[in-house]
Amino acid sequence: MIPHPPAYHRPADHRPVDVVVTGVSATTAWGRGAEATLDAAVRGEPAFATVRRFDVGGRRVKVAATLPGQPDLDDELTGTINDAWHRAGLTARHREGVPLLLAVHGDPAGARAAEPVTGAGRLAAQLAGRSGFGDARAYTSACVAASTAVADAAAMLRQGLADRVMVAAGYLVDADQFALFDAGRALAADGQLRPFSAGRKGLLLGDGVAAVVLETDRAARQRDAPVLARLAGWGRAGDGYHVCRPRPDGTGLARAVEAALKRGGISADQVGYVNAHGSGTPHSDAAEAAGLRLALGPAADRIPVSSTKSVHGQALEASGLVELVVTVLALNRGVLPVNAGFLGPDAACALDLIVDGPRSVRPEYALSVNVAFGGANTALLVGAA
Amino acid sequence: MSQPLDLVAPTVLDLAADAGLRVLAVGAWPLADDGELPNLAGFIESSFSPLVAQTAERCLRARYGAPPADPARGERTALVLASTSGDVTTAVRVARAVDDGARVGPLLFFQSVPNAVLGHVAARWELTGPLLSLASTRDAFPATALLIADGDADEALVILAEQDRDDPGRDRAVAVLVQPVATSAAAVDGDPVPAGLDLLAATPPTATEPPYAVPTGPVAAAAEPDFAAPVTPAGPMTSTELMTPAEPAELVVPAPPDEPDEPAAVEVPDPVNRPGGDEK
Repeated sequence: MIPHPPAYHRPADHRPVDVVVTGVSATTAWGRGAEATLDAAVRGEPAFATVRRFDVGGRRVKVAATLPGQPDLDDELTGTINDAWHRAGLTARHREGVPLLLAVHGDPAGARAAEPVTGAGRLAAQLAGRSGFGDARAYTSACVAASTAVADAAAMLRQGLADRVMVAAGYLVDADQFALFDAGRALAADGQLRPFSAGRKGLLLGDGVAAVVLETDRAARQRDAPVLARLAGWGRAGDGYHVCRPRPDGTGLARAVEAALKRGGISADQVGYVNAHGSGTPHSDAAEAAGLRLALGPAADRIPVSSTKSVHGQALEASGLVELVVTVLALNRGVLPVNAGFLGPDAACALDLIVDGPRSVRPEYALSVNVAFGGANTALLVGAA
Repeated sequence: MSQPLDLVAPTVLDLAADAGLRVLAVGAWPLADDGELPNLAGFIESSFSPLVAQTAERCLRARYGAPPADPARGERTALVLASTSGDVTTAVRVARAVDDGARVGPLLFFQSVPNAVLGHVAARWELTGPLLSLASTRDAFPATALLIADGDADEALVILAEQDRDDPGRDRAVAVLVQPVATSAAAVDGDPVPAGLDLLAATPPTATEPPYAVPTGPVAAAAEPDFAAPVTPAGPMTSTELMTPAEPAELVVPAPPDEPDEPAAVEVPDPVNRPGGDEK
């Protein structure tokens, strides 16, 4: 079992441990490895197309962002984890005892098994065992599952419970979730996901599988590891408002962002980019804009914002990790992704949206924000390496 | 590693203590006199969310009497749901409807996500700490201790719930309100017995079976995708593939109280103003 902190201990050395990112990988409809996804995000080209993976004949909306064929979630997770681990300069023997934090909905075949299960815990345990990692923990809190896992990994590292943590997440567009989102009228009938745009009509689902290696700065330096970015801060808060709608004034989201900035020891005007949750849902985008404006203050007028869901779709439990990877790579490349699908401004979403093309900027800090049903809010603060 | 805990309240108290957490209040389902689980408005066909809500309600009532929670504490109270079974009934219902080509009820949409019932509890009791949902009851207290030590919450409502996919009569859950032991040492109220524990005394322990077995033998190696192979990107949609633009329908959930009402095809009572209910 992943150890817990001893009862309220205060470390003797009060210098906070730096958390760094040493390896990343992400797979979306645009391909594997993450560069293809960043390329598409920089171009602002959406991957939405008619779903061929399963029958959508009975659905109102028939579109998603998917890889071709019938990818297997276990295989994709294994591959993405191996890719990130390799890019971090780590080998198989380094995996022993390293915790695996996994964000997933569940076993895709579980509901149809002879003895049905949801199976998220089993999937995580088997993946960890097969891949040579230590104990596994499965996060199932929907669209904040991945970002929550990242925050927990950072907390573990900062509290001295581990030197290195593997965070992974995966969602492949499936018939059941598609049917649920379609029945809930959440999918965009015009076939585009238009974050913060006038005329936005909802979200679209997308494949997302990602893996991120997080370490203490000391552990990374000890092996001369490539440091892609620092995880400078994180924050989480709840709306306490509704089963699925966000608080319209954005106060829950604002508290999460403020906590991330405080952990990072920076002020709002030091943030150079926000990778927003931006699901293209009418009320959710407005609430998020309100939250960002509240947390960032006057700086919100000039901090560039984009939601890359506009090119890779909403990958549910994996979205937060895909978006973190894209944010880390964008900072390294010095180019900020486009907020695609934009038709025109919405007064309720007064943000500096990146709509005319990518911006060649290398910010010192960037925020990645995620929101989920039940009023869950997370914010991750990424610092340039 | 991920087998469900025996959800016996005294065991849960021990496990919380092992993680450095003190239990302030406890609630559980079922108790000796319990009949059927009360329905939870807006949640259908599955006992999972009603189970979570009812158990949470008992714990919070034991602590606070009636909603909302003490504002000073509620703002810093996280909600943690840990379940090995998850809402397996909803998952099976949806799969069946999809395979049969039958209509999928819109209400199943948000209840298929564990956060939704946590959002209900959070709204009702005005708890605005972080939400956390885990797939193993064994992770509940270590993860809660980690979250509180990290600093975004001072207390947590931790709900351990297991749904029996065949027999709702065997559903079981325990909810505890916890805070770190060190905080308690400085607390003014020195009563060491968690509120609500007396109600549990008469409940006999229930047998627990793991819902699955972790494989012990060698597992076939995964077929990793070829990361070097380029993936043909999805092409732009042709005009025939575009949906006929239709007036978008808002998610069919009525607005919370301070928003203007929107037309809803399905009635979902506002959870914040839901009557107190008739639980014991």
